[in-house]
Amino acid sequence: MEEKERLGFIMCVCTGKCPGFQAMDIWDFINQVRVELPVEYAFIHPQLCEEDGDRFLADFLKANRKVIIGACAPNMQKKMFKQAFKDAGLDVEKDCVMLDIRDMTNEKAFGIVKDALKKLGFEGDEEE
Amino acid sequence: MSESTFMGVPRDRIDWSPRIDYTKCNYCMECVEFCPHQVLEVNMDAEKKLIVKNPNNCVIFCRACSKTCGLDAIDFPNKNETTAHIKEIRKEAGGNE
Ligand code: SF4
Ligand code: SF4
Ligand code: SF4
Repeated sequence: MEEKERLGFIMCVCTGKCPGFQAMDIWDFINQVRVELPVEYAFIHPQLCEEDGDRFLADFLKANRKVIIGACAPNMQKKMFKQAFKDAGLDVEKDCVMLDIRDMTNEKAFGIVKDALKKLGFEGDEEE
Repeated sequence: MSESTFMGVPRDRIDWSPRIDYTKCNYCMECVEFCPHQVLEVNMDAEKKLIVKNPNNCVIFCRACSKTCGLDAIDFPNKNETTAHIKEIRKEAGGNE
């Protein structure tokens, strides 16, 4: 049987100083995602929509990876990341799942990422 | 707000917040809807229905609300100048670890 390709999870935290992430312990959250959810990897980027974020995405997406991004409003993310995906030969609509995880507790945000994975066919608590 | 520094520099010493161009703005309030940080304030009764109420709540180097604005009515300080300013204050404070 072929190994199913897993998605990566990028969490964007608006420099880490953003009041929108105040109710969350971002370190606990990212650790919980990478340890407990069926993702390839999960990590934090300080500010994806800044210039260095663009450069990062340009490099990162070269390998034609599909990702889940947890950040701000999805329609905004779409606007901001569209070009980076296009440049990498990807389609932001198809190759990225964008989640709004602002103003949430760890638990709530975790649930949202878990649900998104489930929708994509990745079950959370399944042991291999 | 509980976070009051950026790179060790007091937030209120860094001038970073939206500048609204009232000749362009049509008060569609898209920017307000996007930003969850109470930076912008709406007052429908005032002449300027939208003002920058809490500039220090604005996330340093964020420009997201300006990207929601279809009319290009939001501008920000120059990033290089802001960066230079932050570095200067850090040096002043002897913070070169
Ligand atoms: S992408 Fe969204 S969450 Fe990330 S830094 Fe930009 S505005 Fe903030
Ligand atoms: S999005 Fe632009 S036009 Fe709409 S209220 Fe904000 S500044 Fe004004
Ligand atoms: S730049 Fe970002 S933090 Fe500042 S007002 Fe706009 S959306 Fe809010």
